[in-house]
Amino acid sequence: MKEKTAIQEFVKGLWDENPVLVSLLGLCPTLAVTVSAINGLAMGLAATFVLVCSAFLVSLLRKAIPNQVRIAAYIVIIATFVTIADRFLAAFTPDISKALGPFIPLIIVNCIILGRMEAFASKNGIGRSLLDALGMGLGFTMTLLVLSSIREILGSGTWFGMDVMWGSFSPWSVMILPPGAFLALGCLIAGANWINNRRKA
Amino acid sequence: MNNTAKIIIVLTLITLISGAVLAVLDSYTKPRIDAYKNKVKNEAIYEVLPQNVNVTTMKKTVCTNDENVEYEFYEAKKGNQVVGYAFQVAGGGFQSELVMMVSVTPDFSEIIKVKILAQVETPGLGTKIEDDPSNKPNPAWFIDQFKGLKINPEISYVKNVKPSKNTEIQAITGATISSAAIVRILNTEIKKAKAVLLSNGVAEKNEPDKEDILAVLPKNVEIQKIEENDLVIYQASKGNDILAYAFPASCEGYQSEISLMIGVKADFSEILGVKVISQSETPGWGTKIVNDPANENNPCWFVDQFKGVKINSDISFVVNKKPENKSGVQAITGATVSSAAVVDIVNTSIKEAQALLNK
Repeated sequence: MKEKTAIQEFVKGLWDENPVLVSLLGLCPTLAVTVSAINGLAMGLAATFVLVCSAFLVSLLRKAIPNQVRIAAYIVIIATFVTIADRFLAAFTPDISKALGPFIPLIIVNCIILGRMEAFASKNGIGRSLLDALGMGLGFTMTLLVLSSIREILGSGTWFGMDVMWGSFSPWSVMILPPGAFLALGCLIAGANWINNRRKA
Repeated sequence: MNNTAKIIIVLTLITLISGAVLAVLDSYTKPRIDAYKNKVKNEAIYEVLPQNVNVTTMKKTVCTNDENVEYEFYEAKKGNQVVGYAFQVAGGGFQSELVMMVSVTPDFSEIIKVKILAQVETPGLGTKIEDDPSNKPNPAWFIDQFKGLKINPEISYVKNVKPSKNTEIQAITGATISSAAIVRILNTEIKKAKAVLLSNGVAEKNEPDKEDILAVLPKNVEIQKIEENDLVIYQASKGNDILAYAFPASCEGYQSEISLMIGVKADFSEILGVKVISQSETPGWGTKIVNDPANENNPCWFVDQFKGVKINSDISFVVNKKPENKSGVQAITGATVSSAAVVDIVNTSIKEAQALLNK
């Protein structure tokens, strides 16, 4: 495999290896929290923060951590940053913290993060790991933002809490219910596959 | 060996550093988080109470089954007159816990206002209990219906029609379960709050609460009421097996009537539990039969002693020392008369109940 350039390491997470649309990782928070754009954005940014910080530490310590306990070590590192993110959200943006509920603590077991630690940060230098984590995190955030925007606009007729639909529009409640999450995500993934297939052809 | 040592050292170091970082962080964020929680609570208290009042917090501890529940009441006073009480209630909704701040008039006859503090009900349906976007002029119409609602005998809800009684509210179409849950929580919790708040005052005498009966019986049983000669006995069975009986009893204590609920095994060999339903004994002395603040671990130690006491002979009590055998309890120092009254009524009512059932 050809060595990727630094830019490529960053860009791949946005589309080609997008964690949600292509790798289908981290679907649980993706489906659960995307009822409003602000939730999607907050979840994405919190996960990105955890991803970048953990990638930095894991990459830094990759030679010091014995192979047998690497997963345990990663989990502790990730859990530390998740707790930091959770406490900060609770202290400074209590409303968002309340809306995201248990999904912030559950970032600990988000497979995107553990996956990137195991597959990338533990094998690559700090610079590359940071770029990879940032790309993956932003890819995750973007996808969540798009998904939650679709769901909020169709399901509540608002976007970031502002009315954006015409007056007689009656919200499709199903879009902010769990089935709506599957419908919207299915359409997004189908769209992504369609574009990728056309690009290959 | 070298590798094992390395594993231990590295993991220990990582967890230690992680713990230290989080401890520092917690000391920084905790005050903010607590302050926010307090702010939310205080705002809710002032929002549900009438305007321009002085609010004082009252705490009461009540013993239920095995635990002590602390209740907080916010008493609103205008001058010297109490104009209302606010308190927090909670219970299960359709898919989440509903937490509300409720205020009532001092005689517990009318709700002043209800405010929802927390709910994560179905978006677009259950969430209408707090915010109904389809009703633009008043998105909070549902919860506003509780303003001035009469509590007695019971709050109820109607569907699809306007409420016709002053104890009725209209449920939300498509969110009947969430609506019904609020009605249910308010009904039970307001009654409970009233009982707790007035537990040092006069208690109403009527049918014992089902909760009080269940408190002295084994878990998951079916209750059947047996009535004869003014005596009421509740028979607890599981399937075809009769497991236990519970019966109310009351007697003259030191200065008030003490009423109890007593639970015994079906063969009358052992007491399962005794619960004080109401009493107005000397505050700080006789009241220790339900709540002894001097015993922080278990303020209800006195009645708890009856659990598992054998009934082969009369139950006896000892003063200032531990009971010697399985059919004795220790009296409360300073409240011997109240303690003796409880022991006495437990003895006589068990005999009465046994005689009635043997007949």
